[in-house]
Amino acid sequence: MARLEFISVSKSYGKTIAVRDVNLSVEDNEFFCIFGPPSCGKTTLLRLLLGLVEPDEGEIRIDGRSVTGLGPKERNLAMVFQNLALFPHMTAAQNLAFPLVERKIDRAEVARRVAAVAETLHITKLLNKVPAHLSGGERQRVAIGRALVRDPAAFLMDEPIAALDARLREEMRVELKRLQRELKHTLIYVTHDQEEAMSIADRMAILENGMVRQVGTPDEIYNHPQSRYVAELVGSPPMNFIEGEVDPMSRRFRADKIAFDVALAALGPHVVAGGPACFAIRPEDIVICAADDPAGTVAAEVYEIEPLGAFTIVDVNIGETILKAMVPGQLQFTLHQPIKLGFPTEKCHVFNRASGRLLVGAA
Amino acid sequence: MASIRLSNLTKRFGPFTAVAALDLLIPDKEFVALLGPSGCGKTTTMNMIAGIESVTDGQILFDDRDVKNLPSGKRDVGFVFQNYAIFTHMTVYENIAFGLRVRNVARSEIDRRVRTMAALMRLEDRLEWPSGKLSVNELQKVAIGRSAITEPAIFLLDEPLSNLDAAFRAFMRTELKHLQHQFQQTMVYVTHDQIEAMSLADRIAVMNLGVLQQYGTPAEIYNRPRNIFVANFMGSPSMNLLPCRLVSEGSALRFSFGEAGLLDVAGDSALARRARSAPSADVIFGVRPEDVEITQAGGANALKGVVFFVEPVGARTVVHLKVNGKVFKVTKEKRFKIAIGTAVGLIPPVGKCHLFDAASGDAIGAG
Repeated sequence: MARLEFISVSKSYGKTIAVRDVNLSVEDNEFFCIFGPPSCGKTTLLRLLLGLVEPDEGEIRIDGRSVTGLGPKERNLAMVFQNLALFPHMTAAQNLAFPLVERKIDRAEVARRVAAVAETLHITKLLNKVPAHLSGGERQRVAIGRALVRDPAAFLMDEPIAALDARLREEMRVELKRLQRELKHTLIYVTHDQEEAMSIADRMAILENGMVRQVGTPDEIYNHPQSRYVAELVGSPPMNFIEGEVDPMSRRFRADKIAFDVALAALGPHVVAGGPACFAIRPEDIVICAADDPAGTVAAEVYEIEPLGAFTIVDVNIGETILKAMVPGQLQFTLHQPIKLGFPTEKCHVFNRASGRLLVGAA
Repeated sequence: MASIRLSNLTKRFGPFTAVAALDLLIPDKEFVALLGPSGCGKTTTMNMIAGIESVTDGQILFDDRDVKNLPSGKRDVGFVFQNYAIFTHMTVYENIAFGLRVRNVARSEIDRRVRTMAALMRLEDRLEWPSGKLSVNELQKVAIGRSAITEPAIFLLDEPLSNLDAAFRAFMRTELKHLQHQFQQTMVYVTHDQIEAMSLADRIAVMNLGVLQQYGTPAEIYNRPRNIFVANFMGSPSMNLLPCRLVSEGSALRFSFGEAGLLDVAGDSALARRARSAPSADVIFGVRPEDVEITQAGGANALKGVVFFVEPVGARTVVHLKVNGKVFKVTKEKRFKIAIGTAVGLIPPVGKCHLFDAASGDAIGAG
């Protein structure tokens, strides 16, 4: 059980800056995801926490105490690896006991702790099986159990389920979330899968080139991205973007190249008249209406239809620009059918085109 | 242009049957997805169509021509594979032009077609780039463009999007479909991803363990799955499947779910009529997560469930419940709020329920 903090931490490898001035604080008992594309610094943050590398600048604190100079063993953090590396020739019980045997803890104590951990993880019945005879979910429990027997202050996981197939991954994240809740441990989870991060995190940090771009709950990240970078990185199908400019007088956004002129909500303080801007809206927030419906404000055509059963993705084009709209259910459209689109003001975002910074946020 | 007819198509590797007596008609100009988990025989089927795998038994007809003994190069098929196979020492232009060059097409004609294709694939500003400098996403666009430009009668794609990132995959899905609408080729598309199959294909052939499970339009496959395998494979999250027992209650029909409760259905409803044709009273009841209504606990004609996990996945919220000790999922709009531990009633709309025989797994009363 621990609170983990990064205070102005930077780390370079030669000329490559892996982590730049990171400030993060992970609360006790929190399920915290670190999310970003490959080589954005996610794994370096974990290595810094573990004590495998030392920061060039800044400080890492565990429960308020600086751990600078402390080796990995003294930090009492448990790492669960990407491939859930279990010893294939050992039973689940032997795998669980391994970290304790290695530390020369006496046999009775080892047995007691293995039994207690097995109980917590509901794997008592599996103790005599070897990994090959366990399901993916069971193997994960054993791997976590092996970290748990040491009673660590926090768990760190680096893409622990990335190698599994989609269905199993969905099951595992529910399982992980449940486990974390029951174990009441701080858990830091690194992933490059936005859906995974959204689904399990209490809070998440989004990284870009070693810098923290935004920290927040999945709801805040998804519905209130503070930059175009964050907006683009989460959501599937991805958010739609249209380039143009904001007219602060009429409080409207006008596109550069297509007939697209929509009303916006309250403008932020950074809006510059005529400054290059980028309008953004999520596919599920676009309203599709009939060509003669006054609720629609922008004329468009149906470009392609993707029926996905529970919902339909309608690709629409306004001139040359293609947007993805997503509607629940199985709707019927024909190709090139003229339609109108509605853009509810409270769902529209506008970003500065140069800096990517948020200019007009959704409600 | 060509239709493809597979009849009794079989492939054995020693004692192992990879494809078992497959009958499939792929109409001219249609986009057909071969869909299934790994080992289902989809890639082997495609390789036989392509002519890069021999046929153990059965026939492959392009229109009315048996091509079984025709070498791959003579079948007029284009391929795109998962790992793009681009000549990295050539420019993008040279790669796209390659298929036309080896066919001795006139230079001006090549130039016209390469530029049209580049515009279609949005590669205009990459034409002079060495292919080695392209991103993974761009490489796959070049691979598709290079194959499509020769306008083969049949276009075969084996998981062409599986190495791409999610956002680009969504974009390419649209573009591939658009490409097919423009060129009107017969397309066969192998995938394990039901979302790709649903969104791209005119028809889907769902396969498992070498055997065709169902062949139909995406709507047919999704709305009227022929068996539990198909029901479970299509849709994400997948269909909720609960064992239950049928009991006649006067004029009504009762579905009994043990501790999870009862559903009474009017005896003259379509669901009751279907249920009466069940070979046994033990059935599997299915309902899709997006069709279930969540109401207050204790109501009549609702299943009892308890929320144990709430998962925000962007545009939707997936509510995970325990019903009779089994996991049951309901999808709601984004930002839907419900507390973990809440006991609720779950109402499956009568018109959207599926029934399967518990023993065979086959849909009951399916046409």
